[in-house]
Amino acid sequence: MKRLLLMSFLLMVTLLQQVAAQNRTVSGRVTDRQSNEGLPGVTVLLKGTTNGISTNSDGTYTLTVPAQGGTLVFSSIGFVTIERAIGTENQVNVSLGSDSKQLNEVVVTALGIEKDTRTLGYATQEIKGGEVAQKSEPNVLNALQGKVAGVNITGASGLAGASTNINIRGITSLGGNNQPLFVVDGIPISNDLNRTNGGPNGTLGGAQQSNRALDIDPETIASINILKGPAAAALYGSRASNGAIVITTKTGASATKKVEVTVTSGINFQRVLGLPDFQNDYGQGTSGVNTTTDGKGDIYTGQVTSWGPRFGTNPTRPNGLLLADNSLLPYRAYPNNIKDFFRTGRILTNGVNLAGNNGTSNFSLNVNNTDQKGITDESVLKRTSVQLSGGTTLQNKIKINGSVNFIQNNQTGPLQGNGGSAFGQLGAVPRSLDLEGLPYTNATGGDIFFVNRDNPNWILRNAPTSGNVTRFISIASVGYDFFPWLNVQYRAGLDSYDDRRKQSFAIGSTRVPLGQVYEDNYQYAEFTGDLLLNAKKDNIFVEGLNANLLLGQQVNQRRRNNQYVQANQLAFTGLYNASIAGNYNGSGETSSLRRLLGYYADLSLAYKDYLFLEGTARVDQSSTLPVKNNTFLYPSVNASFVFTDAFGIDSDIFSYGKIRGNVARVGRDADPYQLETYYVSGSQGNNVASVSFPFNGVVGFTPNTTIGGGTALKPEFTKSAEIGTNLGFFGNKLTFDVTYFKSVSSSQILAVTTPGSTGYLSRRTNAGRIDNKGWEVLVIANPVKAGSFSWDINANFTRLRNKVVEIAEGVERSSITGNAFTGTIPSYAKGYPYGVIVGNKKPTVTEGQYAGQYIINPLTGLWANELTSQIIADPNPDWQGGVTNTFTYKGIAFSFLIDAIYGGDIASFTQATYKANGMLKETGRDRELPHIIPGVIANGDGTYRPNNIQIDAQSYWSNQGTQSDLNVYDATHYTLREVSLSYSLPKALLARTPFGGASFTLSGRNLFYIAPNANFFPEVNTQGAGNIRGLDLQGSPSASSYGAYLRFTF
Amino acid sequence: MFFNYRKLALALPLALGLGACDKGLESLNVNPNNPTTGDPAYILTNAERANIYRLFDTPASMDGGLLIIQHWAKVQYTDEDRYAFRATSYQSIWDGFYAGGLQDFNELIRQGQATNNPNLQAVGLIMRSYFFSVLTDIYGDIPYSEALRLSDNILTPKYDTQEQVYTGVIADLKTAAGLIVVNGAAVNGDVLYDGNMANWQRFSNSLRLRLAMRLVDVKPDVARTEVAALLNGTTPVFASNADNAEFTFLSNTPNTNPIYNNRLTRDDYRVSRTLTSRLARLNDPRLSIYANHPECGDSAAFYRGIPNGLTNAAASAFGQFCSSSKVGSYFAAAEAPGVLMTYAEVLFFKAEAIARGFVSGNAATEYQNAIRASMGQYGFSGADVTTYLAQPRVAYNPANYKQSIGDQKWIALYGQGVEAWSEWRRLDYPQLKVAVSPVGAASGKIPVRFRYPANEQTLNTANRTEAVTRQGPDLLTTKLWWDKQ
Repeated sequence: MKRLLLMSFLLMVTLLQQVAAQNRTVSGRVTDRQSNEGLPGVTVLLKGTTNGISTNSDGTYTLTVPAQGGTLVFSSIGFVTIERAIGTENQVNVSLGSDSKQLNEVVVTALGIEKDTRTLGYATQEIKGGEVAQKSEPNVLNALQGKVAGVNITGASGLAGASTNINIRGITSLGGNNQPLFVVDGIPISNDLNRTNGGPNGTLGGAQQSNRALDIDPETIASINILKGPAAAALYGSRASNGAIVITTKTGASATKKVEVTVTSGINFQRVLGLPDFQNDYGQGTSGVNTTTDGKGDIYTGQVTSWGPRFGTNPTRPNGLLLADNSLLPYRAYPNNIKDFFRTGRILTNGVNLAGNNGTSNFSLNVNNTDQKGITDESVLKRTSVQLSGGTTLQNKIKINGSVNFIQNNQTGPLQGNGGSAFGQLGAVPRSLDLEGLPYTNATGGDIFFVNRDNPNWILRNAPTSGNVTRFISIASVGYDFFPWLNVQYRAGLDSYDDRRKQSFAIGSTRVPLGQVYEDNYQYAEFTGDLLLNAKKDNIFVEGLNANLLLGQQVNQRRRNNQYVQANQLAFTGLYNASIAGNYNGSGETSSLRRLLGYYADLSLAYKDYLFLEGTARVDQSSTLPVKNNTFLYPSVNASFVFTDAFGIDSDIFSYGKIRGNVARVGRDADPYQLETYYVSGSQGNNVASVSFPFNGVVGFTPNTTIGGGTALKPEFTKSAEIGTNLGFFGNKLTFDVTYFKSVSSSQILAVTTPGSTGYLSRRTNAGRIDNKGWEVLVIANPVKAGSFSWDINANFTRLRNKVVEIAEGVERSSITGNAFTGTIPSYAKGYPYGVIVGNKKPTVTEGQYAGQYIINPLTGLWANELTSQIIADPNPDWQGGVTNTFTYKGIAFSFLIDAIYGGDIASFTQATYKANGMLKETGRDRELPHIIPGVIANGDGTYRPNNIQIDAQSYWSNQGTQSDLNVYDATHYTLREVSLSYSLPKALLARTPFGGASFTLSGRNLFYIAPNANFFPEVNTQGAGNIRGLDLQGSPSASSYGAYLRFTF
Repeated sequence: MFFNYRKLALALPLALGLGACDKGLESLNVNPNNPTTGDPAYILTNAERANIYRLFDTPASMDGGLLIIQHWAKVQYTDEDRYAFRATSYQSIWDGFYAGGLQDFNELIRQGQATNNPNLQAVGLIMRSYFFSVLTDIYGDIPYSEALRLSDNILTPKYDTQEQVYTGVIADLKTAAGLIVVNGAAVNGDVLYDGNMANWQRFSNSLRLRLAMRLVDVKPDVARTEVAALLNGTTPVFASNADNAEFTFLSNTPNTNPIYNNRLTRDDYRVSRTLTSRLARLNDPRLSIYANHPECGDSAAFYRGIPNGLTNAAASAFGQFCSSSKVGSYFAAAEAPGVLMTYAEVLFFKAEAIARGFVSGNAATEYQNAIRASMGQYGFSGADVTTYLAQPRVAYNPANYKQSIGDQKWIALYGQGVEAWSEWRRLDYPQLKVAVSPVGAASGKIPVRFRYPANEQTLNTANRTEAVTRQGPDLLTTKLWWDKQ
């Protein structure tokens, strides 16, 4: 197949020849009517032909026209089109007036098709490259936070390269991927998060691997367009049911000179953000006493908790401060012991961009490097990206474009989670322990800490996970106007990466005492080929009715391979090589291949440039569904009506009004290999002990406990409807963009639980329904514009409501795959929003006078036994919003973004541990006073009486239940997300220098936050990007950054 | 003009090229990572080892049968010893045996039929019958005829009565014994008897003997007929300890005995005081194998068991953990066997059958032979045995054969928690006192079944409700069908 296409290209190129006829040349200059400056990139077309050219960077053009002349059409987006008859002249100069009345903006929509926003019947939002670059943030997704309506972005933590989860308009798939499709320059690319699961810690104990969108350096981005719903992305087919993020990189096409050089350089510093306040009044010990074995004073034989004597207490034998040999135990507070575990991180960014455009050809070379040292040791990100792109129009009018982006991304990170991770062990650092001051390793390389625990500093440096990604994104496209009304384009792209990981555990670590090396290698290749035929006809049937028909065919193939070697029982300390191990149980390989064929059509009608109607239809054929169900069709329709133009409304107050609406249906295929029931290697056991194969050299296989989907499996479908309006006031100085949408996703492909007596524990079938609805509001205002001073406000607001309407018959609840932590289980439950956390609840009185009060156990004075399997947390926020204020005066620009995330819960095992161990500030307050838990005691006859049983502070704080609702926090927080102050040197000053432009920017990110109901920064998600949210499981905290950038152009 | 046509003509190769892409889409969806057909040898190995492991693992045995029957007791985390069993245990036993065991054996029977291997079919039938009997002895009424038929679209199998299950498995065992061709088709991957079909034949009949004897109180005629046929002297049953159905674990992880694996990281179990005091009173030499001396404290020369069902506080007040007797090293070793059925059991059944008049013979002799066989398992013979048998407390009492056999069988079945529990329920001897601090759910009695797992209630509601109405409330105290009195 591919060979045939290649031959076709060659055929086309060789067959086409320029047929010369009698011609003459016409030249001239196109200027901006307002500024009189030359306008580059204006299309000068000989009307009725395909003979056209773009103006040069100074606005000049030269065109060969037939001897008899004709009419030249001058058009450019944002300007009113002008037609001028050539007559007998050889020089035609025009000046174009800007189309400022209309809200004209060209955005890149699905499949790389550029459209004017006024014609769109669905919601999109565009973010320019300048808004994500130079913002102290290497991950482009984090840089979008607070700026886009309808989008929920959560970073996993503040470590270098930590992943970021992005979800547009809510969760639509119960078991599958809910991330949007990422498209770069027209081809889909991978945003996978590959988790390395070595060691006994599973997905919980993994390091914070990055999602692959991290590979795109923000400096290479010209603009990002977020297509929000299925309507916007219908042309992308089944992968776009959660919307699409369409990234356009900087190419030479936007350059205005023959060669332009831009150099950027920046340095940023990072600090840990969001550590809770700790108490500094009491140190190591329990029940007010510090006991070390035999009173010898070796603190590592004592307690890990901070319930010891108050600092300053008179040392005695009973309280442990007076040792057996009559010396004093060194005992004082180290208020910064945990804060000092973190260091100041540093991010260096450097880049060079060469771009040029001579009217027919353009090129661009982007070289960027990011070197980040994170907030702890062993947290490193080094990313280098080299992108070479170019485009030209051949003599025979064939347009070719190509780009190659080579990215090398090295990331190293420490483990997260409880148990064997450094962050998990921070909960075992008493307030009186000088963590940084005491040695953490002994002469033989082992660690020095409490028994059965690893010193955080030791495990940080002795169990790193490193990954090395080499990625190529290559795109080539060929386009030709066969007729003036028919354009054919073929675009092919290949995204391939190679991710080699190594996770090591040193000999002597608590969780893997014999040591381990886990090699985990991924290879991914995605090929997408699009054939696009675009035909347009103006004034079809009716005067003023323009039609555009797009027909296309797409081939998409994704191949994924993974090999993993688990080398257990290392032979030598410090040598982490997979050859030197005792056994290799846990090694294996997996691979998958899937292919998707799509055929689509898009008909757009525009009536007099104020009424627009578009219909799309796409048919997908997938290799992952059974043959009789593998072809599915889904349509969409959208319409928009610019009523101000239609009715001629044009006042000083109300300048623009458009209403729009759409309905769409998108289908989705299954993951590969879901149809058969296959055999898996046998195993049996639990977390304490288990059995696995090979057994004495014999392999064992058993039928999988999930029966395959068979021939009945069908695609999933999401149906959505949306209405919205765009309004402009005061000459469009104040604009509103309001959207309301509703979507229903049903027939989900799920593994539904079956009773064990059927012989299987689950079966793969279509079931389930999940609904989403919400509001998105975007307000852009320019309140003050006086001379050179301007104040712009850009605000957005999102309110999403999500509900799991049904799962399957008899199934009320199911846990989300990927969770490795028992006790707090992320799940989806019928009638609740997706992703609720199931855990334990302290029982309360259900009705009557004392309804809502905790029930206290009269024997202990503590809460009665926890109720298990309760829904305790919902991570979905109530609403989100962000406001960016920008002030510009001549060359100075100052902007700051404050965003708010209101509502949503986070269950924090980290805080639970700090609390139970007496480390938090609140545990130190009134510690020596008795505590009475506010609650009631059952009288036995159904009535209750208020609790009056006194307990000591330690019992109060250490019995709250680490997986109970008492450690669920409301994650509402308001953050000063970005601050930026930049100064661009005036052109006059630079006129005598080789620089064309120079600017200096100071920027900061996450500098300040207010979290009214949590004593830490609740924007962490230890399990990384994915469907599990709202869990802080002793991972790294977040980080704030600040720094400076320089940018020069030549 | 020509130009125009030429341009159109170029579109053709493109269009042709595209059509070639959609062939063979379904061939791409063949899983390269897992096989879709299983070699019966691999399935058999896994099914045998995994399910025997499961039988002796924590939920069914260590935290189940062995505690209920008061062979073992717990000294930490004593909830299960006080009959507070976990919902996850009920679920894992059920799901494990059905989806991880019986499904596999069904597959083997199917493959045996497809490849014309009657021996493979027989092995599948015998193991399937064994584990179905384990399930019904634990839960009571269970899905049997409609179970394991998801491919026939039976999503909610009905519960058969225990009587129907027993009838079915006894019939299967008869079929299995009939299918076996002793030197016929090979059965590869058999880690229990290594493909020796003569042994399988004996096992099949011995197992049928056990199951038939379970029916003595409810279907005495069926029991009599079956037992008479089995003990007629020509039907092969276990003839010595060499025929015992037991699985040998290996000494290196991960192939070790579940009890050994448990002891690697946990130390919750001790020998029950009920056992140590009784065996001490009987001067039973097997006590030295069943229990270890305490590792510290003043009773280091004796065996100090823990009473069953202490609260955690009471258990820690009992003294240091090292001062009570841990389970004997024989049982906690890596290579300790997982015992499915022994020769001693066959002899006990024979003695009982004689006492009930099913067959002729000398009950006392068979009783003594049974004890001798049990002792022989642990290396005791000759004088040790005769001295023991001579004691009046050990002597066979024909007036109360249930007591004699019950008391001694309880000792012989040490380590086989689930079976010991079943036989105690049937014979009602030895007389055991309920645990010291039982939880309310036990209503002051020793449990006689486990509760149905939770997801049967949500996923198979109608059928489960029907079973509960028929059998009795889903509680630990509801007696099973064959457990009369």
